[in-house]
Amino acid sequence: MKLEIHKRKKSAKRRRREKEEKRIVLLPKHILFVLSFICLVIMFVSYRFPDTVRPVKNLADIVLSPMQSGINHVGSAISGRIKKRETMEELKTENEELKKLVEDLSVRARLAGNDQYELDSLRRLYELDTEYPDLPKTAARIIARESNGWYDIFTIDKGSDDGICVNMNVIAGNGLVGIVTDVRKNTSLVKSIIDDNSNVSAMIASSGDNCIVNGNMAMLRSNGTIEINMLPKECNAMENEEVLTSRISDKYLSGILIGYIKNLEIDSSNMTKEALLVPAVDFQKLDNVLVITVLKEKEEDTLR
Amino acid sequence: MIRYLVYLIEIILCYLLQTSVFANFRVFGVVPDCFLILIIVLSLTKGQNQAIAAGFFSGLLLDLMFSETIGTCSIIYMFIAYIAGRFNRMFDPHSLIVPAIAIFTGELFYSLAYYIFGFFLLGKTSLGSYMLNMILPRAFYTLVVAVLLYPLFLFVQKKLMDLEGFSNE
Repeated sequence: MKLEIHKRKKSAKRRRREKEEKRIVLLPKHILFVLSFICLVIMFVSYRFPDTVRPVKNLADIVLSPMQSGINHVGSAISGRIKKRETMEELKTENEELKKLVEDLSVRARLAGNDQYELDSLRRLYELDTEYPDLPKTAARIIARESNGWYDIFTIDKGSDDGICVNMNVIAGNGLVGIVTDVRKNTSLVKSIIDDNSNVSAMIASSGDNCIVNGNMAMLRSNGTIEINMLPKECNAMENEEVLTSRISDKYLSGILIGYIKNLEIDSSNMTKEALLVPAVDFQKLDNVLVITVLKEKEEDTLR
Repeated sequence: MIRYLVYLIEIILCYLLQTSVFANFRVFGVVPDCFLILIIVLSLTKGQNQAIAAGFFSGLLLDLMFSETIGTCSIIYMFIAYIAGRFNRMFDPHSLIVPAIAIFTGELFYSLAYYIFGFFLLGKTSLGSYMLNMILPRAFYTLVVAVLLYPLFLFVQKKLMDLEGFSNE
């Protein structure tokens, strides 16, 4: 009797164990943990040894970039048509804005005529301005954008085959857009200056005061500006003065217009001043950019 | 087999929609999250396993193309797939409330996780401003786009089930 009960208990135990074993194979949470672990490994590998994932990135690029540029043609054609309707009203408001700007500028021009210092600064600005039309550039189209919304990184349709290298500067119109951070076979990634991780060494055009331009996307969306930090305390730049890339930057070519200064004030540390910067480029409507195909270091070498 | 091929096509479609098409139609500077809609549809109709796999591969694709550390999006998408798959039994194909709530909260979860690991730990602590300018607009935009994409993905799921010989009812 006892033996039978014991046997039954044993077999019940075994059955339960077998059931559990079966369950372990099927449970989604184990799949989740295994895949999460794989992700952590990939994260570590891709962060520490970026070159190991390069072939995979290139493969994905070769497969997806033709589709992206094709699809993007369709998307931009549709949005272009919608934009056309908006342009009429935009032109009217723009006209008014421009009239105001003309008044503002004529006042400024008069001031500049009177003030020797400002005349000098404008001359210097003019010299800087003529510096970068001579640089070799290549046009590129934006075919995809980082879509998490936290970073402002986009893909352009030129890559290592077109002679693009990491750290080349990207401009649009006459303002700085960003810098090339990753180059693949047919495409490359550009990190724009409004990205939170972007720091550009800059200077005020008139006085030459050095500062740092930090991207801030949340701020850009709420009031259209990004941050300027580390301005010297004695700096007293006027509103709307030009901010250019600085000579001491090791990645950005000097004298490229970044934007216009606003709201200069002493910061919380009481050691330096901070301000806001209105970017010269309209990042909402960006679809074509120019890549300057000279690197800062090489440019300096040729000058020597 | 056909099912997995269809998933692959759906993932690539989402990728193209998200990074190339909707990039031209940004509202308040944000792009809707098409992958999330796909993942929610899969987890509600087919359960956790397939949704987790889809989350893994779609996150991998996003990271591969845009990010230096590959795998962050994958982990977040997989956890969303896992949690949403728990509500599998509550799912009723005629009601839109469960998927709508799942998509909205899923997107909030995704953005918050991304914010905490990518920004909060780096000292950018102004959550209010990020919430107002990035997280909420994105969640609402995703919900609006879901009105178009959700029926499409659901239709594909039904067709797949028909093809494999299951009846819907």
